[in-house]
Amino acid sequence: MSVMDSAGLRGRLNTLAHQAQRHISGWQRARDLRRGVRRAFVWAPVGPALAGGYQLVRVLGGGGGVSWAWWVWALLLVAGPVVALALWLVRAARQRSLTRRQCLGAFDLQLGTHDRLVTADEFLAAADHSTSAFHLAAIEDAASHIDAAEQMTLAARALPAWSLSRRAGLALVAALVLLLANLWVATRLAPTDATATLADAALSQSAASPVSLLQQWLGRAPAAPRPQRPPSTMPEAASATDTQPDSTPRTNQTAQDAEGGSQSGGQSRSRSTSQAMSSAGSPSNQQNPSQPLEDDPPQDQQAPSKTPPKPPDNRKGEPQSSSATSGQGQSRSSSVDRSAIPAVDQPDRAGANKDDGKDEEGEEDEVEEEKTSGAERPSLRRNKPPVDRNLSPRPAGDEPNPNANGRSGPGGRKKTRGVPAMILGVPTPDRIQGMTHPGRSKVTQENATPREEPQAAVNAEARPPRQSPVGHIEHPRLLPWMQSLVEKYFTREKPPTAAGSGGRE
Amino acid sequence: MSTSATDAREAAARFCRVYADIKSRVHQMMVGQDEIIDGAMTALLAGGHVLLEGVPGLGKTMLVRCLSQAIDASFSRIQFTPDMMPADIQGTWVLMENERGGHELRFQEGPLVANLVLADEINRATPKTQSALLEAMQEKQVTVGRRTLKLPEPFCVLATQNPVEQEGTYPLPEAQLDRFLFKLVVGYPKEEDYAAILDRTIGDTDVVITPVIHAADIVALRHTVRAVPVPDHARQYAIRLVMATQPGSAYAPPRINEYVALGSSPRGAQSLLLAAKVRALIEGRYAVSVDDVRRVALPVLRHRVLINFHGQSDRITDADIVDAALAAVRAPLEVAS
Repeated sequence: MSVMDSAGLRGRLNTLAHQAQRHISGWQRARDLRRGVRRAFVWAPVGPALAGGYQLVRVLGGGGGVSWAWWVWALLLVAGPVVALALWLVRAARQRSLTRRQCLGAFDLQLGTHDRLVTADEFLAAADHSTSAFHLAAIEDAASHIDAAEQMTLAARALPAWSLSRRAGLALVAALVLLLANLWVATRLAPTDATATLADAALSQSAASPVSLLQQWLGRAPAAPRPQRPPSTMPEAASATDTQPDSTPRTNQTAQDAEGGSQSGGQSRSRSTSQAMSSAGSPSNQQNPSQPLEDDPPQDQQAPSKTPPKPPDNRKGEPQSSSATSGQGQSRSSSVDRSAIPAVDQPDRAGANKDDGKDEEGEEDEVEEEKTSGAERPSLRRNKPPVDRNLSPRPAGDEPNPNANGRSGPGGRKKTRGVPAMILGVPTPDRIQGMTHPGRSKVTQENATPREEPQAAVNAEARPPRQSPVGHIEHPRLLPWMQSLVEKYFTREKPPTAAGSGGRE
Repeated sequence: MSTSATDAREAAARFCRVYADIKSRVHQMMVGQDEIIDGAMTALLAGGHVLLEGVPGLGKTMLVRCLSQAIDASFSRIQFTPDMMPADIQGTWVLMENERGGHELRFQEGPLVANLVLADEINRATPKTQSALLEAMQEKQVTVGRRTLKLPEPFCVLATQNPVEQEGTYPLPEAQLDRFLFKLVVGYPKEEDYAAILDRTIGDTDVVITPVIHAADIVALRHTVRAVPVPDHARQYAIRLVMATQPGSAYAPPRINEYVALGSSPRGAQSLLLAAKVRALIEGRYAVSVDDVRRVALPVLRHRVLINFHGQSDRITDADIVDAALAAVRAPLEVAS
């Protein structure tokens, strides 16, 4: 291959590379745009959220809602995605890189030439340094494929579809919701209407908080503060309120309860504190408002003085005739009331009220009442709540444990302690079938320096016949009597035998 | 310059011709198994060794025997057993009587000293005997006592092992496995191949394979393979592919980080490019391409990755790991989509 041919081939490859670069760059820009759009809508709620925050600050500051044109809201909706898309495109453009090898590789991939163009381009660039027969053969081999590449155009590569990711879709929905909420608030709190509303509100309730003002504007009545009662007494209190003979409006009654001036509320609190020792944790002691008695110790000085004592009502006001009072042993409680008393309190109560004639009268009244009603009531004693055995920590104060159902013993948390909690309840199957784990083997290595033990060289030599006993034979030392015994044995005279011979010498 | 290019083209054409001749000779006896035959011949021409793995009866030993018959070279077969010692395959010094009636120590060469060595059921030998192959496979020499014996060129070990009968076997250590260029997994033949297999094996006619090439020609072909240049992008791709099998590397995908305990060594990259050079010549090209590296990646890398306990319990195979590496590494020519 001549130098002219090499230069010609390089020029043709340059042309191909530029052509491919334009093609791929355009494709990359389109791809980045679609990817950016797919991800940019994640930032759609930013604009409406900022507007909402601004509007909230204005409302809390007494300025009223914003009154922007529709295009401002639309601009807010697209502001986040547009900014995010711009940043994404800038970042993608910085990270985008396209090498000459990739440009020529596009032709190789499309033609299926197994990198011949890229290889030839590389070998041509290094032709001055190292050239072998195979280098030249590879370059010449690529020449025909360069012709084919020049006559073709790169096929358009597939672009990602215009689509929104799941997150972007959710974000877009959230942005629309925020935008609609902002618009709604803005229409409700237009500055002209807000001025009159503000004046009325200032007249009616000078010390109202901005939150209550906002609620008034939104058309909601301010919620009365909740009476400080245990949660379990709420249904009974509501029913008691419903069964009041007077037709007092409910809001007033609620307000009365809220002020804490009602006799029942005050009594209930005072009783619960006084009975903490005898009936701890009995919710029924506190759930019924009690009626004050003459001999009740004045525990709450203000509450009974503010409200007049209510006439006793045995028909429907039975729950109100207090069990709290009966806890003092002086009540006129009926059997219904006693049924609400915990069992642990009843022996004491029975003992304390043994001589009380009022209780007997109450029972007689109840029997008469049952007769007049014409129907026999079921014994409500059976429905009394069982003893609270919940061992879980109680909430602070006198309030009963709202989670205490009185059933069974320790709850689930308690049961998770102790030895059963340490037992692995879920069996883990052996996933490798047929192979038992051999267990861990511990290898202990000790470094020991080998010691040199010098040994004299043994020269082989001819062995002479043995002349003496081999080695030293140690004779055992005999005791004197043993020596004399041996001496006698060998020195005794032989007894004469008939044969004249034999015997040991 | 043009003359040089012509020489290269002629050398490549001769390579392709010889390759096709050997393959046709082997196909006189072997039916199907094209990938296995290509792999064995690629390893032979690239100067590597082959580990054939498959259940009994698939023709592993026959393939090696046919290959040795197609090449006019010395061939020896070693049936590995647990009681085989290194001296049994390398050779040993024996006391022999000379012409003058005296005695002298002579080196008796073992069966390892041959051009083609069939190491049948190599995993039945003890690690001591298996390690005797290390020097022979890598350095192409055998050292016994104070004597080092150069093995004849070409030297190629074609070992077989059975993956199912693992009782009483000694799995090859990593150092031994790394010395094999290819690990070829021999599968069952196709349905259409069964008839031809039965006709050729149970008939009364013996198939005689005549050699088409001498051992010295194999050495020349190996030089031709070595002369094939590797462009930068193909070399870069091979390096990244090998690094992708190494857990914790920059190119390793999460699957490899999770399941691989040990990745391929640089010897894997050498093997990749050597085998890719043969593939390029076979396909009539004069330089290695990325596709060549991709095609030889599985047999080259599958035995060089060590799957950890999690991978074994999740039934991850070495082929899965190599596939994961191939999917993770993008060719330098490709534009990210």
